[in-house]
Amino acid sequence: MSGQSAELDDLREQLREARASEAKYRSIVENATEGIFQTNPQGSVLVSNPALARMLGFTSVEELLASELNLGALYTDVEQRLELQRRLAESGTISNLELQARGADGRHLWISLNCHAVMDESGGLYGIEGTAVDMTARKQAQDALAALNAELEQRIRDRTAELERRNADLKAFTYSVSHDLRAPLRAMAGFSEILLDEYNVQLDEKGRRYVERVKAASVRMGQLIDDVLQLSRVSGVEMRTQTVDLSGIARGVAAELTALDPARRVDFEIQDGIVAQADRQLIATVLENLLGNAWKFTAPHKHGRIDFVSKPSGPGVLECYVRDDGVGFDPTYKDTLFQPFRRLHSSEFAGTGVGLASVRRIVERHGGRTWAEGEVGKGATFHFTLALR
Amino acid sequence: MDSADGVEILLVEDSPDDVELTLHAFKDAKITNRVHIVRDGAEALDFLFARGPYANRDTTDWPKVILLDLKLPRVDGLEVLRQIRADHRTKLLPVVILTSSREERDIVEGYRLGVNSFIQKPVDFEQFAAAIRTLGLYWLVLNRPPQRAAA
Repeated sequence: MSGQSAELDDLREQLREARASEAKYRSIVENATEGIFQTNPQGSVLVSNPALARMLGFTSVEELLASELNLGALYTDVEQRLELQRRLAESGTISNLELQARGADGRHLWISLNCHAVMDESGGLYGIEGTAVDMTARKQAQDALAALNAELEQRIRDRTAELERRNADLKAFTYSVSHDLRAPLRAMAGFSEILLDEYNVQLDEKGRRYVERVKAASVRMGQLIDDVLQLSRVSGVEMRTQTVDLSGIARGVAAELTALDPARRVDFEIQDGIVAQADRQLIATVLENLLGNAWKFTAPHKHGRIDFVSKPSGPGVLECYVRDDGVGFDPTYKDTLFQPFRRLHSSEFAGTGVGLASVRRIVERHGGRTWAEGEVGKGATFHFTLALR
Repeated sequence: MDSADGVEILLVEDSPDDVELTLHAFKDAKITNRVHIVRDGAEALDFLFARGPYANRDTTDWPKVILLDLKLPRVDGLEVLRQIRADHRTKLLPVVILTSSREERDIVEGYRLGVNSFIQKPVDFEQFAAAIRTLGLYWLVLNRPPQRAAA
């Protein structure tokens, strides 16, 4: 008897454990956020957890089961249903198959499906079991993102078109300035010159002085027009970046300056091998302007000195500067120096105030920075940075 | 207006100021060659190809040099140049573009179309006169045109 009773106790214990185990798994299934299901061989859902019922628009698991929902009927696309059947038949499993479905409440949703075929002892199809995850929110977010991207791209296209149109307008404008504004100036300068040459005796001293001033003013305005055009050119011209030998260009500029005014005594100290990635022509304009300025503002000194030096400045960045020991400037104005048509010096020094503005625009187009240091009577230093490669 | 025959310099220029200054510069440079002035591109082409008012022009007689402004009424300078270079009778004529334009694309296009030289008219008259002097010396004195068979 005691043997039988012990056996019975064992069975009871096993049954209790089995119930406990079933309760544990049931709890997992009931509380899972993924939909979990089992179907018969025809695909009719036999087992569902609450998450699947909710996902598919049923108010309860019971309602879902009562509807005799067929897995295959979920898919709005026949192609997708055939794909599901094909893949199940081929490998017996399906992983992460994204399907568009319609819920019982008519709502469209995206489901990611993982399932496998379950076989009976004789190898026949017993059913399908698996999980389903609602991807609708993620899909909607993706769609929204795609729509946003498309809108952004459209806006960029619109802006680009607008910019191109304005650029074309500006080009037409500068072309007109270049051609039409210079013509009357040429008449003013030309006829003044002829007056001075051929009607010199008819003019008195004061008359001649006035004509001289007309002539000088028209030549100066011609210079202004050229400078405005230069400024628009450095902003608009297409850049061709290559390895550029700045030292070589600087030496060429220094030689030109010296040749134009051989009486001046200026020592140029130009560091060898300053090389950067830049547009050759534009960077030549930078050096012409900076060295030209240094040359101009050292003129009052009997013996001037101009340096062109570089030093490393952070990874991939080259810092260069042009330093002179000329008249310098009031550091209060170190930023206004770079604004177009702002001049610190009076007519004692020639110029229209466009050189440094051009320098800044060119350096900025290369992704670099410009700044100046100086003091009245103690020279000036103009820095700029460029990419090393 | 001058007779259309015996023309050595054809000046294509619409601005009366520039015409006067150019003639003055010729005088200063002691260039006494016969100048004929046309006021726009269409008239330049009529002159060269003996059409319209120039139908009776002697077409065995060609200018030694054509001075061509770019911005012209009716037919612009580059189009005039294109047509000059496209015609076998005129394609070897020396053409000098004389213009206010400093536009790179004009210069490039001018050379592409086969202009012989390109002079930007400076505002300063002395520079302008110097350019005219050099131009006259080269195209009217030094340059030897190819012997051309009369058409």
